[in-house]
Amino acid sequence: MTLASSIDAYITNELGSIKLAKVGAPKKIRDALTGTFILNEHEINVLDLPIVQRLRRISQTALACLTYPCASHNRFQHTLGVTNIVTKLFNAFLSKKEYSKLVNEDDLRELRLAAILHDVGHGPFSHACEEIYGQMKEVQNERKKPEFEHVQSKPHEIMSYYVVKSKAFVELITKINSIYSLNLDAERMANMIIGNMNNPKRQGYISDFLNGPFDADKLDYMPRDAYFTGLKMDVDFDRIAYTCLVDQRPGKPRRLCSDISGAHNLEQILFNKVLLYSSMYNHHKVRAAVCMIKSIFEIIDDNNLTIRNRSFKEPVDFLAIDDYDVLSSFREAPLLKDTIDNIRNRQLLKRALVISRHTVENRNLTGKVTKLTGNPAQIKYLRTLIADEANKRGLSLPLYDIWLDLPRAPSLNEPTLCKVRITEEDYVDLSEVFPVDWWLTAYNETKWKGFVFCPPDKKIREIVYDAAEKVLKDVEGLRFNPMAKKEAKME
Amino acid sequence: MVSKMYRMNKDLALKKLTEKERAKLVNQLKNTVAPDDVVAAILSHLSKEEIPLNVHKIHSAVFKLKQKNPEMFEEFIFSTKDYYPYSYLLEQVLFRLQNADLINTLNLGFKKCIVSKESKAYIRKDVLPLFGNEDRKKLEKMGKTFEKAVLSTS
Repeated sequence: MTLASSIDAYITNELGSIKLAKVGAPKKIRDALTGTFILNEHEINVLDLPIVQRLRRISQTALACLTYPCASHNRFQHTLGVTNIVTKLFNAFLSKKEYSKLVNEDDLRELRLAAILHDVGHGPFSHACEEIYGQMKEVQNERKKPEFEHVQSKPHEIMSYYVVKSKAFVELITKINSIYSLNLDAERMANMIIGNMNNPKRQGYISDFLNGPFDADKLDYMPRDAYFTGLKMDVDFDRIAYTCLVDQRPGKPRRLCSDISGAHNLEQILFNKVLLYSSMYNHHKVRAAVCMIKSIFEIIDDNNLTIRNRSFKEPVDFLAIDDYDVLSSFREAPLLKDTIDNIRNRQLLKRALVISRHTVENRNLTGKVTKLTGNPAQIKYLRTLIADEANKRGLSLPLYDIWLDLPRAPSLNEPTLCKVRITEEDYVDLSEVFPVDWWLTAYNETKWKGFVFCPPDKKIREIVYDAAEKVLKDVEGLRFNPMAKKEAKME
Repeated sequence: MVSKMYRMNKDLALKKLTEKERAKLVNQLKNTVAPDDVVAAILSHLSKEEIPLNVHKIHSAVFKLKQKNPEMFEEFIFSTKDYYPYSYLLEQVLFRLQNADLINTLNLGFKKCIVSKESKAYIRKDVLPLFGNEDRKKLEKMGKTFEKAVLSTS
């Protein structure tokens, strides 16, 4: 089965029994971050679908709440925030006389629904599970297809795209069109989700509102994640909205861009992004929890277990469950009990060794390890060797309790993908106004760390440190200095 | 031995590897050719020590190399909707090469991508042997094409 056909079958099953009823009136929704806004009748029909309600049970930032206690916000809240922000962006844009003919009400209707649906492809614990199904051949093959390569789609975006393009969902939109006399097009909404601009009926700037260098998605998740973690970051959303333009130069892609007077607000977003990565997404405790989630699915895979009758051999299985299912799965699969108890009781793996520019003596060789990023099979080989070496020293570690984690650095492509208008004729890259991308690369380089994680007992950590140091030296030639242990807080 | 609350499932303990199994894993790791190796190999064939740090040109040049040698760049995907062909993987690879000190992009003004003689020597000694003779010839040729493309004024 292809990814498209498996998602199609799943959505047919999920939506098959749903009877749409006309909603009587719009609803006023309060969002803690973006404020109160109106949801229209047809949007309430879509928001009420189980595939969207499921997002209430998918945490926005995986298990970051075990490090930042207030970070228990979910994908549903983010979805509402993106819907509100995309509307505000669009309306600010529409308020400019010169753009009033470039967009219409249908665009906004579709953008809002695309915003509501943009994350329905996420699996449990959001990006944590995306690291698993994103590596499966079904998704990897899709990413190389022209329609996705063209826009460099992320795995969860591809999943959302196929949900919205599924036959059952298209039929549902047809019914909504009929009930409310609308003209919604599911295919256009699917394309907005992946940021596809090769749509003859709609220009690229439309999809940029939802999936572009500075889109509603970013403008929501960054302040939301910062707010709920307690990290102090600000975004001048109003100024970004009012300095937003369309590149209308002949022969150039018609993309959203910014007036020079909004450039520093965009730079501020990028500063926030790298701070979020170094303070939260790539925080060692947050990464340890991500590894523990990955352990659950490794145990399931290696031992032919299931959660809700799903074996997770294919990406669609991740659509069928949520965070709650994973954290209660030991009832169905007792072999998972220890790992899940550790998560539930916040008994997280700890660092045994840190790989960074401060800890490796022969830095050129760091590349021999970091090149394995995104290659879970090879990383598993190294983990196996480390666990085996530790067990030779008297331990009896499961492989699932040893991780080599190589977090990805944040992408900083926005400054070269977003143009800034200096005058009517002169547009430059944001990075030409100020090389914010390289400035932040310098920051990332100093901050980036890879980890070897293991159970928290001090003696185990000591043994795993010795084992990891030996394996990484024997196999890859890396020589560590005492900071490799000190940064792991073992001395 | 494990802290009171942390639970380790002994039933799942890793079985001891045989020497043969261990050697197989080590061998697979040592012979892994990653996207990082392809880019490093190309950069080792630059005739100069530095090229302009121009993201548009660097991504565009690798995109063109992929069109002529798709088998060497299978994992690189490029978006074509933007002002230049952009690859997330290439961005990550360049960061990792920077992190390993094999390239230096963090110089005054961020104007140059420097690949020092020492880096080139290291890549030739440790990375190029991962490739077969045919591929090495291709990489050398690609290095020249890449250099020409990023140095062009157009």
